[in-house]
Amino acid sequence: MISSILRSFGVARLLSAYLLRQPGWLIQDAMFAVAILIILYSWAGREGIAYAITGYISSGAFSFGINGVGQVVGWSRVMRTLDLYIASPITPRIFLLGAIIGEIPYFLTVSIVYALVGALIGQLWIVFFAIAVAFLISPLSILLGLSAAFYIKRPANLSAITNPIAFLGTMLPPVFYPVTTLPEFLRLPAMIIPTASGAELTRTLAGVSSEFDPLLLLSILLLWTLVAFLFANKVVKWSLD
Amino acid sequence: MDVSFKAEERELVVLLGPNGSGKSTTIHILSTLIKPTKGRGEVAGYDVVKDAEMVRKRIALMPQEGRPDPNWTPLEAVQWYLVARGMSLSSARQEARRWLEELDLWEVRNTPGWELSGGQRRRTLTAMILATEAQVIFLDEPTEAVDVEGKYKIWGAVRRAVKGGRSAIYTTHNMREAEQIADMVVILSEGRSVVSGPPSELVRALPFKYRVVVESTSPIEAKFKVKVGETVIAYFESFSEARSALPSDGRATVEQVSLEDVYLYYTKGAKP
Repeated sequence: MISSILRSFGVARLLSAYLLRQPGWLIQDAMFAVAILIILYSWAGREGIAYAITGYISSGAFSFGINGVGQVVGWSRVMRTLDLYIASPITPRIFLLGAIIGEIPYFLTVSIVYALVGALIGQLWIVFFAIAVAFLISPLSILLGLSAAFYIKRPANLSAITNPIAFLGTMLPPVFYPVTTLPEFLRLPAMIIPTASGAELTRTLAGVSSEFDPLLLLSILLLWTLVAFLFANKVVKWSLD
Repeated sequence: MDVSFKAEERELVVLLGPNGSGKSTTIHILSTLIKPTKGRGEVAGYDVVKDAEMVRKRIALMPQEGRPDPNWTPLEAVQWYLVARGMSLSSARQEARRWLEELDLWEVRNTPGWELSGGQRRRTLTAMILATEAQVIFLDEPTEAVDVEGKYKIWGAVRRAVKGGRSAIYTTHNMREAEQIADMVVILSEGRSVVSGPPSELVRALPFKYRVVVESTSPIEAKFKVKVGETVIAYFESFSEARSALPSDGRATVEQVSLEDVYLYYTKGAKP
């Protein structure tokens, strides 16, 4: 177990070397998190902060897998270093764990920013709920990211596909704004988008919103995860396997 | 594909052939990247399909078009790859130092890949593979786009790795390179292994010892001839025979045959 974690850490150090060389990515993420916080606070006061925390952590968990894990795996395909991992004692489990560990700094940066804000305004519990739901969204996003990385024929184009998906999943549906803003007939369909159902689930658990039954939102996320698992199982190949 | 060869322990086998001859496909099959459509491959006694996991525990592969991540420094590339393969951090540091020094990369060990030359990046990848504990190492055209000095460094390091107890399967389309480093050469052509053996024995076994290279328009009489592009290579059993066949314009010389001629003999039909 310890040996597997150490080995995964080795993979993580290789896959996330770009974060050490270019920490600007983390700074950009933290700045964006703060900016969203200020924008939503200026529009809706403390409730806006609740939406910033729940929205950003949910969408962050979604982009963690699609943009983060998916892109580092896709990049390994482009550079052909994936072959180095496959033709070695490194198992798919160790590699995947490494890819996940390597992307944690992103998630940690945003979580720390929001935990500090949550603690300052006495709403730390919202951050806890958001992180708990993020753990539900992450497997789905990781499976989608992996599927994209292996499914796309020319992985050099991967970010041209995953970035719009992550961006549309974040900015268009009710992730950062109340679902009640939408016309009645659009509210339930909007929840089909996992970032929206994730953010709404967090808000429901935290008592910020009560538009939907949390079990319904949870079911949507689990159904998505199941579909993503089946798809990943079909397209993700550790070569011969 | 119809390739057959056996590599012994402490042996460097070079798969030699032109582009598209099946060198990389052979390497990909043996390193468990692709399944053979028919036939079977064994590495260290394990079937590459049925026992892929056991094979993977014993191999390391340098892919033909592999490039180290430009964000990696040589030291972290080697060190963390070894840790990922299961080596302890202290041993990984030690081995990384050894192989980076061996490949003349220690001075640039903390330089990110984007500041390294193409040859240094290729040597970094070589160091990642040679530093492993792998019993069998696969090197798919490791000296491609590497300058002369870099090539000699890679050849030396690979030879020392083999001397240290590993087997290496190495591909190239460069005859001179194969002659320089191979214990055994397997010549591939159109997906088939046409002949194999130690380079010197293959050269010795040829039915001629000398050759004369002339333009295809120059008339030359010889028992064996092969046309390659715009040139004709004529083969002779003795030096005097070759010398007497030299065209009068003085634009050709007599040369001793080499591995290149073995390749031409078996693949281009340089037959009587």
